[in-house]
Parts: sequence; structure tokens; C-alpha cells
Amino acid sequence: MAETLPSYVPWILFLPAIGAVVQQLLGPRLPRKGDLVVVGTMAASLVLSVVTMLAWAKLPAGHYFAASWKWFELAGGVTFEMGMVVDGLTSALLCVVTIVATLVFLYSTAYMKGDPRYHRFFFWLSFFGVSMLILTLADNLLMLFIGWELVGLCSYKLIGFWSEDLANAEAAKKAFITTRVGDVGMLIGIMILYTQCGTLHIGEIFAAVKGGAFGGQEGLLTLAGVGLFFGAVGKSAQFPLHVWLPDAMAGPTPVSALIHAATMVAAGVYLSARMFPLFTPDALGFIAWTGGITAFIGAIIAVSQTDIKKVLAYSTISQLGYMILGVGVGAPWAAMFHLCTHAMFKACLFLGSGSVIHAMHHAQDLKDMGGLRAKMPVTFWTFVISTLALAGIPLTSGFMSKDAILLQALHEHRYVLFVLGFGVAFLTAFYMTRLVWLCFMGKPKNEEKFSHAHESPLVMIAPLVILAAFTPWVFWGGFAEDFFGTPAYYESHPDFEHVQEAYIAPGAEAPHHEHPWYFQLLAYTTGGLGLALGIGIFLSGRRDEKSRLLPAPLHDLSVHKFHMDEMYLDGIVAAGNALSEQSHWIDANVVDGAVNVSGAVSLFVGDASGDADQVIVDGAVNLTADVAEGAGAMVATAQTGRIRNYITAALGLTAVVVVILVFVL
Amino acid sequence: MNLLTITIFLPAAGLLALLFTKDCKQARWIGMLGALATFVLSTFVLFKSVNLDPGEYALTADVAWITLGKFDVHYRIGVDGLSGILIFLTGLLAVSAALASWSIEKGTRGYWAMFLLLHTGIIGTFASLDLFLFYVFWEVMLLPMYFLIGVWGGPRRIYAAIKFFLYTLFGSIFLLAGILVIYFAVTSDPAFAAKGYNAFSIPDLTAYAQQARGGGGILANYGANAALVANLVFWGMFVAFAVKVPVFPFHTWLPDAHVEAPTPISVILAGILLKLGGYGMLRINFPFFPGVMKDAAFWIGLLGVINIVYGALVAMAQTDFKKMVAYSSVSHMGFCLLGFAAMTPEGLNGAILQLFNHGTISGLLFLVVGVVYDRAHHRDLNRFGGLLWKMPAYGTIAMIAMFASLGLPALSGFWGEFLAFVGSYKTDYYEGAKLITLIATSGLVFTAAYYLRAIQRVFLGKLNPAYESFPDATRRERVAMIALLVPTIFLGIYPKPLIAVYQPAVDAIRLFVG
Repeated sequence: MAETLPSYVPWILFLPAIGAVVQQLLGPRLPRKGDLVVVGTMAASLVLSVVTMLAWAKLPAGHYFAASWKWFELAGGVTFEMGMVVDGLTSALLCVVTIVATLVFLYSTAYMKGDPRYHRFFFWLSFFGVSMLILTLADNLLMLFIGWELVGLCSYKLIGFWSEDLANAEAAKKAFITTRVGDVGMLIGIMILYTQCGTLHIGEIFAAVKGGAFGGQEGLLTLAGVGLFFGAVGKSAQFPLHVWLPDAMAGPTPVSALIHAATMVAAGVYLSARMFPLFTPDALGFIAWTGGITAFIGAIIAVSQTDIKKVLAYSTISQLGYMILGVGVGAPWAAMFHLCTHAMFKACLFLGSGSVIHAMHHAQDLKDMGGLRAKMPVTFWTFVISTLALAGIPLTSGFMSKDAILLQALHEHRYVLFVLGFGVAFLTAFYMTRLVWLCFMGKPKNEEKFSHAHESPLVMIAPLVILAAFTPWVFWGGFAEDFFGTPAYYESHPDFEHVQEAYIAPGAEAPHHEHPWYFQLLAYTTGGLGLALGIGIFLSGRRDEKSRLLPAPLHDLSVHKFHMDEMYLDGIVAAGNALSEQSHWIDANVVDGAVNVSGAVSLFVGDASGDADQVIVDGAVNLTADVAEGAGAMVATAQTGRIRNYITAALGLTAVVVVILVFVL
Repeated sequence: MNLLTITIFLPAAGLLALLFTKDCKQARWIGMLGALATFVLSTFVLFKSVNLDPGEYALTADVAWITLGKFDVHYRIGVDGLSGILIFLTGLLAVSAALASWSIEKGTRGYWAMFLLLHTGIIGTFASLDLFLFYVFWEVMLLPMYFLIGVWGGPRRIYAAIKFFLYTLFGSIFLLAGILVIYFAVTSDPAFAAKGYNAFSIPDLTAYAQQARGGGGILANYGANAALVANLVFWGMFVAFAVKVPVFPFHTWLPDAHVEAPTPISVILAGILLKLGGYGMLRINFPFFPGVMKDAAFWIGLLGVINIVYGALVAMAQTDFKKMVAYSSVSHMGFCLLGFAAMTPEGLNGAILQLFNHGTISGLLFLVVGVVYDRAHHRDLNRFGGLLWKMPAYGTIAMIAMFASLGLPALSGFWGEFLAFVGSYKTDYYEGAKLITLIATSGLVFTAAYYLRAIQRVFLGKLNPAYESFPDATRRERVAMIALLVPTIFLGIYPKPLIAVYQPAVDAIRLFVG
């Protein structure tokens, strides 16, 4: 049941938008270049988001807030709308986005201090916030797509924020183009749904599907679902389009935390969860395997990375794989739960790594680190707490959300994915232990850099502490059951029940499952085992960041990132460039060549009345010189008589055509 | 006097004023005043073209012009929403192009004379409701354009100008032949005469085509051959308009013409002249032959997807900044064909939005190229780098223009593409639309690729020390670019005002053709 949207909800979006515009127009002239405008409006948005969430939570089950506005109307009564919907799904993501954004903005005021384009950075941060909120609040696929593309733009601008270095520009370009490949799939999904359902409103699409818009065309519905999901594959860095995310670490670290760990990359999970009722069993299988494979590949690669941010980037890919797996096995609520918990501890980890990088004067390779524990106690402890959550150690938030996904995989009889999931959990605990150890424990490896290291200022470590505070189980335990643990937002979906009956995979109706004993055993021990192994290996101090930790074939794949970049560069990019060069050649030689030849022919016809001299001169010129280089003056003199000849030919031809058409036919 | 007539001939009147100018400075101001007046008048025309019924025209005038028995040509003009927005676009671009013409030193009086005459031709073509008048204005455009490229162009200007001239002439032949064939057919058709219709009147012929739909169409008089002749005339006229759009394989004049043309002329060429092709199809080609259109739709859609994908691929291979932008026009005009072929409200809206928005965006892009060419005297993408750090305002505008062109939401280029895509996928007007649309979506990736490469090569990376002294965009350059940037952003966020103006025209097209 739709309830009237509280009047303050649009301001969640408008306030940061006003902040972005004010900061853009007045930025350099404001005190502190307007960063407080950006932070302040986002903080206000956070307050409103929490208020909104509480208001939603008071609604009876199955109710949600909604409002929409006509944007424009086409002939034949076709209308396009903009609208907002607030259900459990929206309010959860709203809170996550605004919390992380506010903290990262605050953190950035110190991290980016002294950057010559400080005000530009804050403009793009706030514009990102606005775009992400558009995406979050959207009640229709058009508005969602608009936000989707705009976050991509912000991501591009922020990855390439330091584009004086071409490598950063390359990374930004790679991110934009790779995700655009996914967007093409999403657009195809949108086209199919619009054609079949006649609307882009998500609730109406569900109702139309229920009403038989795809009557008998299960395959097409699968295609529509997979198409939409392909957008998520790009944005959420799923295999095989994950390659852009590690490179995206070229951006300033706060950007990595906010966009490339906590929010934007999770948008694909949000999209998949939001559109979940559309996915056919086939589509769900595809989604589940995509997620599982991504989780595995990400974890394997993370084990051998030597750049602190790259480890975290691959870890993000791996965790996003978990979430997608959750959607695929029919537990989008668990995926969303993991999205929320992951956003907090991963943002904390990234900001922690930023704190380290800041302290080490922009060194981010593990070979320069070690022993920082004593110098940076707050960073260290928050990093460790977040690591425990990421590793899925009991009593942390990550433990709860990860197990919710894996339990569902078990109940869906996806045994391979279930085992894979626990394998990934083990690897996660292991590589995170490695990271913590090489960074904070042991002896300093670069004495010179170490001697300058210091704990970061308060505005940087306060966000770390706040984010770390979200990791204990108790924080989520209180209401996770109500919020994520039951399919509350399912019920609040317009007409969900009916769509669910028709399309959801069997078993998904009852997300509460028994925990079999072997599940409990695995759940409680896997993380600890990975942790123990990691400590065991590194405690001796004989192994460093380059040590081989995986069996040979896996190690090679890990170091070379499964050769994906090479395959893309030598395969697809090279093929695209070759195709482009070929087209260019055809255009210059075949298409334009035909034009020049036909020009010469008509010239010949025009000249047939006499003046054979000029035919030879012009014909030769036309076919050779001017085609190639157009040798200036010579052509110019030769051309003078030419126009007349062409016109003669042209008019003669016209006359013939008209005579035939009028008098002969 | 009719406001539309004044709008058409005011630029030409500027020609007279130019006769009395003494130096190039005066000529410049006459030209600028002419452009500004055209803009103001075109705005009035736009306001007069709203809230019409489908098939209704505003600001009409109808005066007998040449009368030789049945050969009864009228000065018959009028605007509906479709021509209204395009005339407005002409006025808008006239101001931007005039600002960009400020630096023209050579033969200033002649330049401005041609510049103003060109606008009379363009606006006249959009306003014509008489086939013969349409043809006359169509040809009137050709000559000033020929001289503007051939005299004020780059090193290979003669080649480019002649190529442009001949190509367009080639197309015009078919248009003229088509007009004549239609004339002979309807003047000997008693049913046509019985209605009291005029053989050159576009509204009359459209109405007759609509009524004679069940039979042989407007060429019913051909009896058994009617279908064949209708096909020939339809495709002949299509070629005439396709050259202007330009549609593959008739597009090769465009890169040459653009590369050689001076910046303001490129702006007009890409911004307006290409639109005349699409306009001609919507106003004449399709409504006159609704029966043929139904069968032709597949081929038009196919040409559309070729334009989109092939144009983007060729653009990707360019190293000349201006040529890249020129090929991007080939690619983007493909969306118009895709939308036309669909004949759905979404498709037609996408196509018409693309006509307008491509006008502002491509105009903007050519201004962008012009700014850097004026400073560097070359356009080789591989020889720039890091200009954003030296020219931040210019770089920002350029990037917005490129993102608008690659269809980023919240900028106007998005709506045309999006609606053309959904409208084209949705249509059941012809078989195969779904496959064609799916292939077309790949163009999105190629488009992103060439624009992002261009951004990287020109604006990012280390600043080339040779360009250390480049000043940021001057105030004049900024005004010219911002004039086009404002509609790009505004219509990107809120396209409704534009959409509402021409919606009755879409209704009319669907009524006559769909």
C-alpha cells in the first residue's frame, strides 16, 4: 500500500544538490573553498534519511511511501515520470549512503588539504552524493538509469582526479567504458521491459508481469532480467567486467572508500535486489554463478597483491560477488544486509588505508610498511576490528550477513556455490590477516618513511572510529531481524506477492531456515582458521609481501590476475581498434572512392559534347591527384570548367529520368 | 506583414545594408545585428508555433507566385511545432556562429553577405509549404555554403566545396525529378483536381496522400505502374534528403566539408544543414508516400544502425579532432533514422529531439574545436595534452559538450538517444526492428570510447610545454559556447518545454504516415 511521501523526503536529494550548486558557483570564494557547505548539506541529508527510515519503520507491514511527478508527455498519451519510493530497501541504502558519504566528506577535508583543485574535488564528491541519492530514491527505471549514469560520470572524474598522470586518466577511462558495456545490457533490459509492460515504473512493471505481459515468453523475461543484471555486472565489478575496479584505486583514497567500496559499486546489488521479482529461475542461476565466480576470483587475486589498496579492491570485488550470490540464491534481503554491513567495514578499511598512505607520504606498497601499529594506534585498531568483520569472525556484522547468504545457498541446493562460498570466506580471513600483518605488525621495512609516520588528525580518525562502531554484532543484532532478516521490503513491494508466486524460485518464500550442525561448524570456524593460518605463516617474520602463499598454478593466476587485462587488451580492445581502422579504410577508399569514380564518370558524360581535352585532364586529376591530396592550385585551376560540366550532366540526367517517369511509364 | 516572411528575408535585407558599409568592422556589426535580429524573430516564431492542432500551421501566407495554367506556384509559408523549433535553432546558432565569425579577416563583406544569405535560405526552407518554393530555398542555401567553404575554408577548401556542391546537387536532382513527377501525376488526376488541391502545396499533397492511401497514393494516375513509380520517387527524394543528413553511403562529403570549413560554418553545417535532411523526410518524403514508407521502414532503420555503428567506428579511428566530431555527427544522425523508421511516439520524439539537440551539441563541439585550432593551428589529437590545466573554463565546457554528445543523462543528448532506442525496440511498424535496435546499442560503447580518448589526448596528462602560453577561452568565445551550453543543460534536465512545442507535429506525422 502506498502512503503519501513525507514532504521532507525529496529534501534528502535537494539539499546536497543545492550544496553542490552553491559550492560549484561560489566554491573558490567561500571560506575553506566551500567544503563545509558540502559536508553540512550531506549531514542534513543523513538526518533526514534517518528520520525517513524511522517513519517507514512505523508503517504497517506492506506499506511504503511513494510519490511521482509527470516529467513530460508524448503524443498518444505516453508519459514519462520521475518519482520516489521509500520502502525498507530504500531506507536502508539511504542511511548507508548518507552515513558513509558524510564521514568520507569530513575525512576528505583533511586528506585533500592543500590540493590545488580542492574545491573541484568537493564539487564532484557532492555531485556523486546527489547522483547516488537519485538512484536510491528512484521508483522507475528511467530515473534509476539517470542516477546510474551520473554516478558513473562522478566515478570517472574522481578516479581521474589527478589526471596530470596519464595512468590515472587511463584508469578513469577504463572504468567508464567497461561499465558502459554493462549499461548497454541494462538498456536492453529496459527496452524489453518497456516494450512488454508499457511503463518504466518498477511497481507497475511487477504488476504487468503478474498480469501476463510476458505471457508464455519466459525466455524473453529471462533476457530482460539478465540484461538489467548486466548493468550490475558492470557497476558492481562482477566477472567478467570486474577489471576496472582495481585500476579505479588510482583515485584519491576517500573516493575509493565512498564510491569504489561502499556505495556506487553496491548499486548493482541494490538494482538486483530491487528488481528481484523479475528474475526467472534461469536468470537467478546465471546471477548466482556470476556472483560465486566473482567472489572466488577476487579472493584468489587478493592473496598476492602488494599494494594496500589493491588488496582491498580485490576484496571488494570478492565481497560484491557474495552479495550477487545472495541475490542469485534467492536471498536479496541477505544481499542487502551484507551490502550494509560491508559498506561500513570496507569504508573503514579504505579510510584506514588512506590514513596509512597519508602518514607514509603517499606510499602505498606493502614493501614500505610494517610496524605501524605503535605509531598509528587508532588506525590500527579500527583496521583490525573491520578486518575481523570482513573475515566473518563470530560476533561481527560480517559474520551475520555472510552466513545469511551461505545458508540460503545451502537451502537452494547450490552445493558447489555453498562450498565455494566457505572457501572464499577462508581465503578472505587469510589475505586480510596477511594485509594487517605486513602493514602494521613486524618490523618497519622502510625506516626513512617510518620515521615520518604519525597518527592522522582527528577529522580523519573520528570517521574510522564511527565506522568501526558499526561492526560489532550487537549493533545490527537489535533490529537486523526486523529490518533485513524478514522479507519486510518484499511485502512492501507493490504487488510483490503475486509476482513472487509466479516467478520466485521455490524455497525463497521462507528465508528462515534451520542451521544444520555442519553449517554451524563451518560458520564458526572458517574465519578463525584463515586468521590462524595467516598469523602462523607471518609470525616468524621470514615471509614478506612477495612470498608465494598459494599452490603454483593458483599463484600464477593470482599474480597475473587471471590474465584478464591482457585478454581484454589483446583481444577485445585490439579487435575494436582493428574494426575501427578497417571501417576508416573502407570509408576513405571504398565509399569515398566510389564517389570519386562516379564523379569522374558523370564528368565524362557532361564533357561528351566536346572539349575532349578537358576530359583527359580532369578525369586524370579527379581520379588521382585530388582524391589523394588535392594538390591545391592545380586542382583549383582544373576545377573552373568542371562545375559547368557536372551541371550539364546532372540536368541531362534529370531530364531523362523525368521523361521516362512521366511519358514512358 | 507576416512575421515569418520578415524572419525569412531579414537576413537577406542585411545584404543591402552591407552594400553601404565602408570597412570590415561595419560589415561585422551588420552581420552580428542580422544574426541577433534573426534570433529574436525566430523566438517569436517559436512562440507562435505552440498549441497548434495536428496538421495546423501558424503564421501562414499564401500568395500566387508563378501561374502558367496548371503550373501554379505559390509563395506559401507557415510553421508548425517541428519547423518552429528548427527555425528557433537556426536563430540560436546564427548568434553563436556570428560570434565565432568575428576573427574572419579576409573579404569580410563578402563573408557576411554569404552568411546572411545562407540564413534566408535555411529559414525559407523550413517555412516553405510549397514544394517549388521549398526547392528554390533549398538551392538558395547551396550557393552561399559553397562559397563559404570554398573561399574562407582551409587548405583543401576547393576540393571540399566542390564535393559538397556536387553531392548536394546530385541529391537535388532527385528532389526536382520527384517534384516534377508528382506535378505531372496529380495535375492529370481528376480526383485531385476535384478536391481543388494545388499540385505544389505540401498540405494539399499530404492530405491527398492520406485520402488516396487505400488506392495508389498520390501517384494513382500511373495505374498499374503507380507502386513502382511511387517507390522510385520515394527513394529518389530520400536520397536527396539522405545526402544532407547524411546517410551512409552518402556521407563522405561531410568530413571533408567540415575539416575545410571555417569554424562558424561548421557550426551551421552540422547544427542546421544536416537537420534539413531529416526535416525534409518528415515533411515531404514520408507523408507523401505512407504506403511506401511502411515497406521502406526496415531499410531506413537498417541505414540508421549503419550510421550509428559505422559512424562511431570511423570516428574512433580519426586523429583529426574536427574529423572525429564530423563522424560523430554521422553516428548521431543515425538515431534520427532509427526513430523515423519506428513511427512510434517514442521513436519520433527521439528523432526530433535528436534533430534539435544534436544541433546545439554539435555546434558546441565545433566551437570547441575552433577554439583550440585558433591557438594551436592544428587539430591533431596526438599533439595536444594537458590543456585542461591551462584552460580550465574551456576544458570544462568542452567536456560537458562531449559528455552531452555521448548521451550522458541530465544533458540533452540523452533524451534523443534514449527515446529513439526504446521507441525503435518497441515498434511493430516493421519486421526486424528489435534486432536492428539491439545492434545499435553497441554504438554507445564506441561513442564513449572515442570521446574519452579525445578528452584524454587533448585535456589530460602533462601539459605540452609548447602550449604553455595558451590563454583560456576569451569572453567572446565563452559567450558563443555558453549560448549553446544553456539549452544543452536545461533541456537535459527538463525537456518538456521543447517536447510540448512539436508534439502536435508528431501526432500529425503518425496520423499521415503511421
